[in-house]
Amino acid sequence: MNHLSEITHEQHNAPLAAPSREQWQAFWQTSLQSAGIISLSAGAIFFLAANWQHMSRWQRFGLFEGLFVLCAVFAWIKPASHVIGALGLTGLTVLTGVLFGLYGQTFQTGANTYELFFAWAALSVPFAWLSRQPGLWAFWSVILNTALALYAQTPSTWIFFSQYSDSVNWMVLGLINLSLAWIFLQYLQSQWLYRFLLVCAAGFMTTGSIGLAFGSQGGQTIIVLYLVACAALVAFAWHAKPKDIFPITLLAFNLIITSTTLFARHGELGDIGMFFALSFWVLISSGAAFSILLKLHRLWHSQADAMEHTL
Amino acid sequence: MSAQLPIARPWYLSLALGASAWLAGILMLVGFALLLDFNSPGEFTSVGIVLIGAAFVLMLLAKDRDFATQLGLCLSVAGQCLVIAGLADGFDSPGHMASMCLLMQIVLAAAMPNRLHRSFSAFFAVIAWAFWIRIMPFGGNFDDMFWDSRANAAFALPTGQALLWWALTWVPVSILCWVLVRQNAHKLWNDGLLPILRGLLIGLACASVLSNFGAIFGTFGQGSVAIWCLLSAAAAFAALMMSFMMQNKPLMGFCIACVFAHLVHFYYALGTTLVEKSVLMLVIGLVCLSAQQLLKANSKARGIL
Repeated sequence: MNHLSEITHEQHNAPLAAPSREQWQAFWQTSLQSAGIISLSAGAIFFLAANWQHMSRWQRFGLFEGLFVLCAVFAWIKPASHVIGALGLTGLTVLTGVLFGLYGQTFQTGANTYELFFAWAALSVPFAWLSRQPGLWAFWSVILNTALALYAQTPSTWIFFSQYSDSVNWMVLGLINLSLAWIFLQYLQSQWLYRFLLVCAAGFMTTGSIGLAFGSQGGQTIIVLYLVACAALVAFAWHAKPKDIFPITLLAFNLIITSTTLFARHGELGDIGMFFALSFWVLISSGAAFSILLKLHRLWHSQADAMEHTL
Repeated sequence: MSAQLPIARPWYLSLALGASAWLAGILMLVGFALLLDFNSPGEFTSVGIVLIGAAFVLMLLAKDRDFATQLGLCLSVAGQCLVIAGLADGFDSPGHMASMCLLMQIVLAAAMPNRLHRSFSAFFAVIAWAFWIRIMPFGGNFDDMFWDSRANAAFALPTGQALLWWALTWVPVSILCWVLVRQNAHKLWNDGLLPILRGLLIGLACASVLSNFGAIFGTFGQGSVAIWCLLSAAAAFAALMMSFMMQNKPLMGFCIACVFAHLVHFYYALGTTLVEKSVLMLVIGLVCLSAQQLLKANSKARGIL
């Protein structure tokens, strides 16, 4: 088992082991390589930005298409596990969006911004798939979420979007992110990517539930979607191995914010009383919720450790 | 039997508890402000001190009780805000105010019997320190610094002086972090030094931008503004290195995010042309990659990798 963030008291009280020589070597290698690549990329971007106005249409397209071909060559000659191959696939993903943006800016196509992001997300799937890198999938998720969020705010005819209210849309986005989290957990087994998507889902859920508290239309639909999302978070916690309180912590935080908003909107205690009441509500609800969660966390870890000893 | 030992609270639970306590503290602060209708700095300060005292007693008695700890944190947040409001009313000089805030945060970091509070206090102590060191030689007024570009211009420094003041502010913070990170065998490490170190490292990673007000709002520059952002990225990298020494992955992630944020800020900072920024980044990139290659060759020669 790999409990990255949980340390037992026994380990807590022991002196922290200093990183070994090999770990330091690996740290500096990775840091210097990343800093070098990022600095060179930033330098190139700054240079382009400085000279952008002086470049003709052909020079702009030629430059980015040339870079695109170069990245494709990198990705072709080296596997995704090699730094050059990974760099090539990352470059292809980024440049796909850059070329779409450049095309839209140059020819003023009149397309909606969400179309650009949807096309970018769709065409980037093969690159992210080939890379199998959680970082690139996280970037892809951000593109997709941007597309969905832009689409959700655009008048359209699709059943979930804009037919009812923004709150329904945010709930749907929350559910989409929960689905992505589940898929990536099965496919990549990357805990941080899984948690990143859960945080995105909880953010959308919270936005939707705050909208509901403020009397958004489509109340019943929002409540059904909200309950489905809550059930999904509990299921994630329960079926993780070892069982994980992270999804329920997000759910608890969401419930505290939603209930506080409801209280603030519908409570009738006057200004002074309301602020004190809200303050105590946040204290009591968070204290109780997180105390229960900590006990659950300890229980689940004890069970997992006991199971490991048995095996 | 390690299986029977209690397991420490996960970082995200501490974060959620801290965020909730802050929210509750701000709500309580507004409640107190409306209820008591303060008229003088003395009233602000005395009520603030009483609240902090109550928070101290609660935390001392709370032990592992989450609700009492939360209430303590909340009272302390409200109390500190009131004390700072009192200080702001009472002192004409922002330098004196910053030094008093620094003193208060140091005392709280040392005295408060709660790990989360110690981290918060250490973080705010770093911020107060950055303000104090920046304001000390120049004087001035907080409102003008933030909102009046002409007053901001008085804070613009030639590059050499800017580097000196940056070093005076952040080198001591880095040294303090370095000293603390090597105290991991100390008996006070777990409950005292480690939480303070976390707060200091968060401050080192994200607060160094505070040393130059103009850089935040982009209102002035004499060639020093853009460099400040790169120095902030360097400070965040130093914090990353020390987080690695502590093997604290969430803190490492935060430091990496701060490095990126400083880089984005560098792009937008005024006072340096994009071509100069570009050349600077290309040189840094080449130096980093050359160093990496040298390190790799050295490691191979020693048979480490």
